[in-house]
Amino acid sequence: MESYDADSALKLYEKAYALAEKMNYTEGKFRYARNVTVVLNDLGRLEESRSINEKAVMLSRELNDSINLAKNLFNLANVYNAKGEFYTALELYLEAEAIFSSLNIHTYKNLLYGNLAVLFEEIKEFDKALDYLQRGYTESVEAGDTVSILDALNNMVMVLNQMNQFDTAAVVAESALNLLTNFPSPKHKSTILLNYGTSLNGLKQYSKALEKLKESERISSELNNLRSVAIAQHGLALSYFNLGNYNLAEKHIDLAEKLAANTQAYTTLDQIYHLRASIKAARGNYKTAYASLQAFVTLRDSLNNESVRAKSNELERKFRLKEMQQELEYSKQMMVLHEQEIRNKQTWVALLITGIALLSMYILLFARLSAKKQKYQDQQLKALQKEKELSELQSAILAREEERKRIAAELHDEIGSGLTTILFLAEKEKRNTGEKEGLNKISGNVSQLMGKVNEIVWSMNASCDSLEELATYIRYKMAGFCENVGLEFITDIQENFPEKEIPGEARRNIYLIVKEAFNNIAKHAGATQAFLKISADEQGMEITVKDNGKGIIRNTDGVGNGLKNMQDRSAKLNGKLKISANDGTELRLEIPFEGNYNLSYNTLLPYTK
Amino acid sequence: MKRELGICIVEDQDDIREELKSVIQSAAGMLCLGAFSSGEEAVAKIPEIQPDLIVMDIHLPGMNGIEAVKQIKNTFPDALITMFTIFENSEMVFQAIEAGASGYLLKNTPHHRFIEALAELANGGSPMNAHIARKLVVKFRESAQKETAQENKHGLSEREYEVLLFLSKGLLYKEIALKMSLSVGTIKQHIHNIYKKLHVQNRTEAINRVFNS
Repeated sequence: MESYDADSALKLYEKAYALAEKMNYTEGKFRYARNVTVVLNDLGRLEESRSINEKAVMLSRELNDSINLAKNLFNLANVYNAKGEFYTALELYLEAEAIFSSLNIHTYKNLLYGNLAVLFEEIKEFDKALDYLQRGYTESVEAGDTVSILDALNNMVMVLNQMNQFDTAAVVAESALNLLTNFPSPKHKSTILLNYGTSLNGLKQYSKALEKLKESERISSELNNLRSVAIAQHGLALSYFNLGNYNLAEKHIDLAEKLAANTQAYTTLDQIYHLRASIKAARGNYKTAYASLQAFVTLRDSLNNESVRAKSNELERKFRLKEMQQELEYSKQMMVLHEQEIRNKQTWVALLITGIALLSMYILLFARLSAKKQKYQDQQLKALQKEKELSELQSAILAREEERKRIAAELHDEIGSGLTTILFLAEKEKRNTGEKEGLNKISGNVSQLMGKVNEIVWSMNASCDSLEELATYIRYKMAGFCENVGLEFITDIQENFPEKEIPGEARRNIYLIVKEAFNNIAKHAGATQAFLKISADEQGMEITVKDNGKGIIRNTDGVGNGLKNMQDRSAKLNGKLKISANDGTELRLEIPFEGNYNLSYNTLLPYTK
Repeated sequence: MKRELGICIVEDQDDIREELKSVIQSAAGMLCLGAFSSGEEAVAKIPEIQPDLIVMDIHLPGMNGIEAVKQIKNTFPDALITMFTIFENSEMVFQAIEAGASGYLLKNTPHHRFIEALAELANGGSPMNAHIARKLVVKFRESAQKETAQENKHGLSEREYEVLLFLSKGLLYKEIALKMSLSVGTIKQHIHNIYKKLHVQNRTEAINRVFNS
């Protein structure tokens, strides 16, 4: 249970892929791509993972398969995220999010928010990262999804660390570790300990940090997660560095570098170079320190970090001073040795050359940093604009859903529980007093009311907005109804429905028309059979309700009103309602989809099939 | 003589809880072993009581019913829990089922039907409706995609899967029994097994997610 064999998993997936290829089974190929990516990413084989996902994205674009396109984009984004190419990753995530939103798919949003947070964390947009983490956390708590809760908490620790809010980070880490005592997950434990170690380093509690990091390193080694081991080794090096034990610090940084390089963990690698530079600088070895720092600057491709520049300037200054001192020493010696021949001239030339060399190096370095900064800012601006547009669309959708949720919650809390209490009190009275008739009426009425509230809650539930859900609900409710009133129930319901969103209000009207029709059959038709047919295509839907009774009698009480209600509801749907009586009564409701604005929530929102 | 059925109730509204308690106490062969007004209290005490059946309200102040189900299942894995709900189609009923509950009991069920329903639950009956079945089918399909290229029905037998599909199309137990030429009792047994396998599946899925996420 504690480990999974990645290589044999890869082999199995490869076999599955070969089979899918042979059978020309596209869905199989997509699944293969997604599964194999998870393993490859874990193994740090990101290039292979990227190429597989890119093919999957292309294939799903060709096939116009939105769901798979979004999933594959999401996976490809993960690869770029892991590779440290954040702008590309951001673009892909946002494209995926747009598709998930337009398809009304919530399942992946949790993950998506988490990954976006990681991404913003990587590009040092910490406030945004925290914001996405909070969104993800709230959703996970609502969904009761402990794994995602742990992911969110872990990432919060990471972000808070980056913001230097180590005390808050430590508190979050402790609570995550508490959660883990009831929910053992070695992977989470190792990463949370890892980040906790960083917080403790920040709080200058180095010994405690060493303890947590060692445990994390041990678990990650067991899990064969080399990237995490690399990060832990970096953390250990940092603790030892801060404790002034430079030998051990160097030993651990060597291990960290090797592992990070092997697993292409560039973001870790750049921290490693940074720390190595600090260690070397602390030991007075400014030349190596400067080399490490250059490696660090080259690596930190799209990052705009003031502290790096300050540090690089400072180290460069020290390096230059030392070089100059050396040159001066040298020239002094030269002067002593060849006082007569050389004198000042050559020494000054040498000094001048050194000066020019250093100056041009400095200018080059500065120019490169500014160019990167500019490029990065342009990219960021574009990304932010894109995000803004998306978030406006999203907030429109969210506001709508929030309102529905609020009403549904109120229905539940106020009306639902109030009705339940009345129902139970009536039952209690019945038992205590023996009075049956009046109280039976009350509980019967209340129970019916609760049934109606149930219908309203159903119509407000956004997850029921599909044609298929509507057909299922009508069928299920009418089957129950016929069973209760002793009618034989015969159905002809289409097997698969096109994917079409039917908003709550429309669903409710359609349902109530059918319900009224069945009510009429039970009350007035004298029938023994009720027949329900539901069919739909891209153009529209059609519902037929028939019975084997005596046909409509217009003058009967209630029927007239009922018919008017049905006509009104049908008009609200832009529908056509036809009632004919031959052998029994037949009611046919036709609702067109094309251009029917009564069937959409908000005409400004794009509707994707 | 048959052993009495021990039941625990978790419900925050005093009137409802007390009435439910009296109904159970006055039913032959049933015993109310505990009535709690909060999830926290239930989580602390129920694993020690080890009742045959737990009736759990969903909306509780503080820890809600879903979380309580999760925690009780952690320390008392064999717990048989039925959600006590006003709304059968609510998202929360499905979440509770995912968390380990075996079905639901509607609050507007007539009182005489309560006792029948409780007895049926204890005998392995697990109520499911079209809404829950639909969500399960979607869930199974989604996680089947995550797993291998081959169709994975989560250890459900062909028959069980067929029952689930019929349910998800809105068929009643009686109608499914007729279509499959089985008794209603057998259909109920299949549904009970679906719940059981779902809960086992949840545990392994949690483990898989840890390693693959």
